Amino acid sequence: MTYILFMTLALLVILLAGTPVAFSLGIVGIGALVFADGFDSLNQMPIVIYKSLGDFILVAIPLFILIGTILERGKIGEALYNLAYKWLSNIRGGIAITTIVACVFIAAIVGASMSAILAIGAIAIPQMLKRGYSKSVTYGTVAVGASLGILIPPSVPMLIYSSLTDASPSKLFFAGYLPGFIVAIFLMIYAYFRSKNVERQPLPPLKERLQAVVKEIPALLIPFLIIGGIYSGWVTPTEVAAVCALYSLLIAIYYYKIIGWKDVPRIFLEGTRTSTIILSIFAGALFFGHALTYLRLPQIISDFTLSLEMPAIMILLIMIAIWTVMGFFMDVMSILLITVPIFYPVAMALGYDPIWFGIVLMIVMEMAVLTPPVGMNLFAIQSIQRDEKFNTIVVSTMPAMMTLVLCLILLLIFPQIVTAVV
Amino acid sequence: MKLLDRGLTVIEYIIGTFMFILMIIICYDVTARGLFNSPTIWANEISLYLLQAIILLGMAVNLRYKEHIQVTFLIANLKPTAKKFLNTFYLLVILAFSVVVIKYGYDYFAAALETGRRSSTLLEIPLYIPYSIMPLSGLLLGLEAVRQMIVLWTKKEA
Repeated sequence: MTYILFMTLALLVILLAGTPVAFSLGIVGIGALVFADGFDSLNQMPIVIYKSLGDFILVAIPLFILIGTILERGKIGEALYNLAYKWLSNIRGGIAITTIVACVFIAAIVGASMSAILAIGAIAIPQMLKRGYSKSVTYGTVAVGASLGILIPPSVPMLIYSSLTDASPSKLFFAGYLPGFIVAIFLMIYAYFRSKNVERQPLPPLKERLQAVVKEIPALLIPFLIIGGIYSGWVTPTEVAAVCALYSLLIAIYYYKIIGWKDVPRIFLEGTRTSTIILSIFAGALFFGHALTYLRLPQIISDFTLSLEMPAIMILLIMIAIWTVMGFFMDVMSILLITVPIFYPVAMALGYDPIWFGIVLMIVMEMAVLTPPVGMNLFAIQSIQRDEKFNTIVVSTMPAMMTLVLCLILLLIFPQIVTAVV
Repeated sequence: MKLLDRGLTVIEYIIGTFMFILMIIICYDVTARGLFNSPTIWANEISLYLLQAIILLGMAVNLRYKEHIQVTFLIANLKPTAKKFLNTFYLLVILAFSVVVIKYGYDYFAAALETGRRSSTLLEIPLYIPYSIMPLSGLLLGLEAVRQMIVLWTKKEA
């Protein structure tokens, strides 16, 4: 128990001093090992690092992030948004619903939420405000819609979760679609009822709308390529990621013609840097995780928790509360890498389904990017709306965030939403 | 210092290129398996070495651009002097981390070099090649941390 206290305190102090998360985790892991067993215990370290980094699933992470960079540079997000707009502009809350549909599509292509929100938000937000949408509908649908990238596969947080546990990434991916659509539908209902007096636009003629669909077919194919590829069991998520990255690069160059080969080096440099930001935390967390396992802390914590003889649901709610609080201050990757090695064994001992537990975690992580003071999607909206007060953004996103809470409650009551699928 | 800057730029380009190669070889492997029913024996292993290089070397590149994710809500509003000390503190943490990585990464590399261990796959890659990445990235990371500390303490108050 002293180790747990020591490690938690040390981590807290080092993190709050502004040390990058990757190195905070690394140094605390190293410190704990040395403290427990002297410097010799570090001899094992390189073996553990190389072995953990030698996981083929991890290769999918930079590839899915790369797809995001390609879509952003190739303006494919904007193209999909414009397509959805052509079909939905005349209904109540049309632009908000367009935004949600486009976010769902992009979430089904890219692995993280940032690039989607920036591309779509930059067009949708000014348009909505101009046509009389309230700020809570405008910021809410963009921020929550973009957070769907975490829940709707492919999802980098899911891949991280899967690499930390023995949950199959393909199964996690399948399980994510339905809850993701549920959140999207709740969000549309919310946007519909909160957009009474907004300006609507007549639909363009059917012929033009159909032509627009045909024009975007190459991009619309990507989600089906991903679902089909993994569902057939013929390729792994990593292989799907590589093929889709190459495919989206080729359509961006030869079909949409927004980028050329001369932009390719920049795309790869940028995509790689974005990936390494996330993956360095992963590498740092390996030291931390190794120390935890070496000291058998997950086992100890799990035994201790079970000895309390609390009802399982209480323990789960406590975990959700801890995640939520961490979500105020930290990014998704750090929360996953710190808590999953500790919480997962407990959840398994309580008899929860590993896939279901992962999906519950993903929904809580969606809230983490929406809660201040540190919420990536709030920052993203701020970067589009520079003149807006941060507080206004926070407050107006809250009602839309309730759709996530609602979906979470549904999942707790009806685990079948996940367990029936996988 | 110029040399370090240039070195890190080169590394940045190298890992970007690795990323491109990674994508291509996995696509190649899928095609070879799907169309010609002859999966490669090397794609999987090589892609893992590339990934390790991208992650470990990327740590130093990210430090150069100060892109690492930090918890900033507490330190955001501090006075410049306090900030300076905290920055020094975290750079020292990074330095300590890099020393450990260099020391143990190097021992592991040296052992592989001495015994001439090869990977247990059909490729039989001499393992000291991929194992050289950890001490190298530790070195770059440490040097960059020192460089930032020097900049921090020699530059005039803005």
